[in-house]
Amino acid sequence: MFGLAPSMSIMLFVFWPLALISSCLWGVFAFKNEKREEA
Amino acid sequence: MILTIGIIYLLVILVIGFVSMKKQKDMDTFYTGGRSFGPWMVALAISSTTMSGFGFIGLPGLAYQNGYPMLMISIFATAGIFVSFFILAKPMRRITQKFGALTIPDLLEVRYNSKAVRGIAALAILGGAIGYQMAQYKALGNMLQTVLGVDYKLALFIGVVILTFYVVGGGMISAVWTDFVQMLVMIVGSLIVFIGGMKMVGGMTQLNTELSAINPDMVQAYHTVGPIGVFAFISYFFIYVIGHQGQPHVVSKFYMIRKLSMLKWACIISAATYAISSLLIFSGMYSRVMVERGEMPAPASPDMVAPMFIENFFSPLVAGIIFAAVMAAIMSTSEAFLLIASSSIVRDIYQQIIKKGEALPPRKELALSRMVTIVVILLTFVLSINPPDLVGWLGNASWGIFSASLVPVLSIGILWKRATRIGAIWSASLGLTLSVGLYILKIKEIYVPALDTGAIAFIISAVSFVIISLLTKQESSAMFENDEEVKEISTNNEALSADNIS
Repeated sequence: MFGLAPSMSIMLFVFWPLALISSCLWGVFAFKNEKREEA
Repeated sequence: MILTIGIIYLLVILVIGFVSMKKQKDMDTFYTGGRSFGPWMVALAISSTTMSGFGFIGLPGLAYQNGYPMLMISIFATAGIFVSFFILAKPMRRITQKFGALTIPDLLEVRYNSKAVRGIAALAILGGAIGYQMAQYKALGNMLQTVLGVDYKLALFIGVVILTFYVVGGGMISAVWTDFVQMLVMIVGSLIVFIGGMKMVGGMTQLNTELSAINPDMVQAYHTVGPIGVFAFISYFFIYVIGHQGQPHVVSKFYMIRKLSMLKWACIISAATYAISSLLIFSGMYSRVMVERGEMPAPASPDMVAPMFIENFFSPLVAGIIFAAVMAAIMSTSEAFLLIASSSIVRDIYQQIIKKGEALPPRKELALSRMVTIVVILLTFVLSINPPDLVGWLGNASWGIFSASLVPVLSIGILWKRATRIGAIWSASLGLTLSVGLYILKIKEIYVPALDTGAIAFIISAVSFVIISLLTKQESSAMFENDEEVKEISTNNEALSADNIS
């Protein structure tokens, strides 16, 4: 993609966004029951 | 114009330092800011300390030489931020609340009930911090040398004087506030370089085609031959994805948030802002193409690639903003390192080991913390006048020291109750001695392994930790006992309220 080798395309366009999506999902799921726990 | 913007930026930082100075009361506020920050402040402090002079000066230089494989360090570090939050954020915030931990060695003593583990961890933090700080100072000197047009030593001296004022005066409060401002400046600067540079080279496909013509390996995730091969790729994974949890200047920020639930959005803010700021690494690839086209002179040293690219291709106003961003990257990491190096001496070695936990008067604590911070600044300044290596490789070695010495005892220790004190002592000692020893053998070219020395030390440290823990007797830990107590209390409360309802 864009003249990149397949290995770099995967890392740049799949792995990197995946790391960001995981960060977002952690926030959503890690604190799902937090209010109950804190109470 | 570049000079004016540089001076405005430095003045803003100094004002923050001056305002924060009045809020300092004791060692707790000096090293943790009194656990008073919201999610944006903590998140941007984490991303701005992760993105350092190593990332903004060292990595563009290495990308100029080697191409995209060096971007892998940032890609892996983004994943590392996620992994650190996933494993450490909640337990660390809870533990500091329960036991009043200010530093990583504080937490390790609670976990293993051992002064030896505390001492080894403090030494690892001190050693790694001094190495990493030298990389920051070299980057700071190179940057101010270009902005102010003075020689390296004078540039370094000016940068260190400013840093001393706001770190010694304002401690962690000043550091987190400046991190916030610095990260915003870094995001703007990186986006300008990434978008502006991409237009100059003629788009991404054109950039990659030209890089591929220079060397097809430059557009791979790792080189097919040479030192940046598949083993380097695996090493970066260990050091930057797993090893991020051992970076004390970053994970100690988990102590600072006001309420546990505020961590909810901090992970994505940190990871996203770090990822955006790392787009500046593209300046290394752009420069390589421009040099090959004959539109830019070849840099004398790879560490000068980013400053030269900015100076050559952007208007003075824009260049001033970008230079401020690069200085921000260097200074935000420097202040964090100075504070953790100083806390490992004052809190972990002097107060907890030499004075055996004796409480000092708050004023004396604060004065001692400030004095030791000045000593650390002076020591690293002297060592950085003639720095031994490229910024990039020096930073990489220090990440290796932290990863090998701290990640197993910290992360595995928090997750795994079977981990023992003897296992932790062996693991941290092996991690520290192997990461330093193998790095020295490597730079002296006595033993040059295919895997990065930090990654080898990390694997040996982690494996020995698990094996020795399994071979030694399991001990109780205050960390888990209290967790069980809390669970018991909440179960009893739930049972009581159920009884009341029925």
